[in-house]
Amino acid sequence: MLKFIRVGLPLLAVAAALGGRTAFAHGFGERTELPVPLGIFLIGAGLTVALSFAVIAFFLKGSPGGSSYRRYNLFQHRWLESVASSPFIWWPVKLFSVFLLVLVIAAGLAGDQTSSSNFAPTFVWIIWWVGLAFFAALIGNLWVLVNPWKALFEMAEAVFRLFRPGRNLGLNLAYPVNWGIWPALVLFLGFLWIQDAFPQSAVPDRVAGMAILYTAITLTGMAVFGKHQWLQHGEAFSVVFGFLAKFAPTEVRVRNPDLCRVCPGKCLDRDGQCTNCYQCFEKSPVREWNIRHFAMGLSNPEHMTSDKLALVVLLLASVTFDGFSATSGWVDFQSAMVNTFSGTIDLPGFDSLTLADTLGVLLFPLAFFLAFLAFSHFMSGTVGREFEAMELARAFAYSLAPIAVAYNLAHFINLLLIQGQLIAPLASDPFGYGWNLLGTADYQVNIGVINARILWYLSTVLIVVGHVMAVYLAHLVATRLFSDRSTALNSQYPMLMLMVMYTVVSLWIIAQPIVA
Amino acid sequence: MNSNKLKLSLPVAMAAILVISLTPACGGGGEPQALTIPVTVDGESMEPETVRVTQGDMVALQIQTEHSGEFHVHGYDVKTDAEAGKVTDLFFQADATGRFRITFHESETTEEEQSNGDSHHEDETEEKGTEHDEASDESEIELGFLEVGPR
Repeated sequence: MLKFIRVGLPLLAVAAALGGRTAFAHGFGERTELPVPLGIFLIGAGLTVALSFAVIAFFLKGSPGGSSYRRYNLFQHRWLESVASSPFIWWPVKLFSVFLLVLVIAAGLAGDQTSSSNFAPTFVWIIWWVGLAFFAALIGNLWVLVNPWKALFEMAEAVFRLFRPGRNLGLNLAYPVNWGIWPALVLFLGFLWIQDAFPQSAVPDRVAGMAILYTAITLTGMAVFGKHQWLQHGEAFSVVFGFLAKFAPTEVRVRNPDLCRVCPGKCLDRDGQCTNCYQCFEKSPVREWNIRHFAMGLSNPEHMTSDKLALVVLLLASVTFDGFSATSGWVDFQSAMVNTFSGTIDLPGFDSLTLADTLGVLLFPLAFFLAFLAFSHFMSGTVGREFEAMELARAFAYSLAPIAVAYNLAHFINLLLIQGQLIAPLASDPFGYGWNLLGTADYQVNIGVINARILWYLSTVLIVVGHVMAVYLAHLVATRLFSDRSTALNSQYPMLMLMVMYTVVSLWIIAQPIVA
Repeated sequence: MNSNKLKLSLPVAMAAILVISLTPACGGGGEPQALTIPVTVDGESMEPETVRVTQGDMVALQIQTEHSGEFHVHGYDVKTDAEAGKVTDLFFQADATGRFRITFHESETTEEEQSNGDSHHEDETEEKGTEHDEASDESEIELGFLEVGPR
């Protein structure tokens, strides 16, 4: 669980022993979800295995089509394109987004420091982070349109061009090619650490501090390497939401080989097109906004590099750790760490409990990577060592993504639906001063908005469906990668084992009682 | 052509399997009941530690406590001032499923007023008073949980 909504008996006992951590009062940690009952867990696990074989059987009979998938271009309706690309729609949205960033910082610094009566923590952690991730995966990449840092930079650039027409703002140094998206990954890892290990992640002035620091980093990055370069490689949330949006049923596409070939985003695919490259999209006169099947964006033939593999592993591991860290297994580990190290580590804001969570944030991705590498090694064996393990790990990385996305949805849906309601009173009184700007200050959170039984089925079905999509995508990759069908099929048994394991672990976690 | 048919039949079969396998588990849990549950609070814990009810039940908690204080079911946000040595009733309808914290907030007035003349444990409350010097939240004791299962 996000650190700040964890309030529970064992943790409080530990906290009392450490003499510091206070529980956030009303609104946070008031309610936890009931674990999925054993019966549903077993059905889910059984279905996972059965459907895996169903997909295999399906592939035995026929092979899937090539790299393309069915699309419906919404921009074939001219009016829709002119509406959707109208600056009169998007500039107010961008301005509002910048206003929200300013509000988060102002409320965090000047407002009431109780997490639940300040706009900043709920907005940042639940509405923005969880909510926007849901939007990116289920609808499309909204972040591209509302990114306040991008909007700020564009505004600054517009002003700059009044004086120096035709020039770009900033140094525009060449971005080092071998850095890839590593800067974004490092920043994202820092964000995950704050989410899962930093004890003060929901303290309003700390949230404001995070926002200020990240604003400085992002604007600097854009000023040094240029807007698009930094958004594609260094801005953690553009990278993460952009990745989640590969799962989404919408895409923007440019069929313009000349444009895509010279794009510094290296977006050109084998069909001479590029998908979700916003740099090309901004420039191209002819563009598409397509509706597609879920998860098909992950099947686009991309040049896979190790940094992209690292992103998938990081996302998979972090969402699993976020779930696992609320189970009794993790609390036992925390207690052990506290017993071993209490007294020896006494830095301000970093104690033995933080150390335990920090280890989790770092070791989970490592463990996931090693597991994936081990199974890729098996796979390499089944295809006669035609490819190395690391090559296969890179090639199949995206096919694991639906499992992570589905588990992310299953894990966070009740948080968004229930705790997310807090944004209604907070919007009326962002500083906790007793205001009632919108008339919603007295809104009471409806804790019964989703029934546990519905949630159990929804979570289980989501995870199983995500698994089937993953198995399907892996087969698409295999048929593309290996020349003959039987090699492709053989390669999939280790992959299938890994996926079944991962899915069953996901199901197992939602079947655990939440203790912290 | 054949593979097109297959493409259609796979999702259909999947959906069918999901629906069939999940329906038998969907049974209802009967009619909502009126439940009277005795709860004993002593210092740090509560007996039973987890109060289990089913969605829709009308719940009456009969609270018996050693110390006077506020008994609080979070989420539902129902609370009552329980008096030491007496049985205090707390009524609510369990409409929302989930697991909810139950806390006890020992009343600080007992130290100063002592008006009720209850002979209970003066020394213990004093000891408690010296301990909590930081936030007032510290005197909130985690008693246990209310679990409302779906019907």
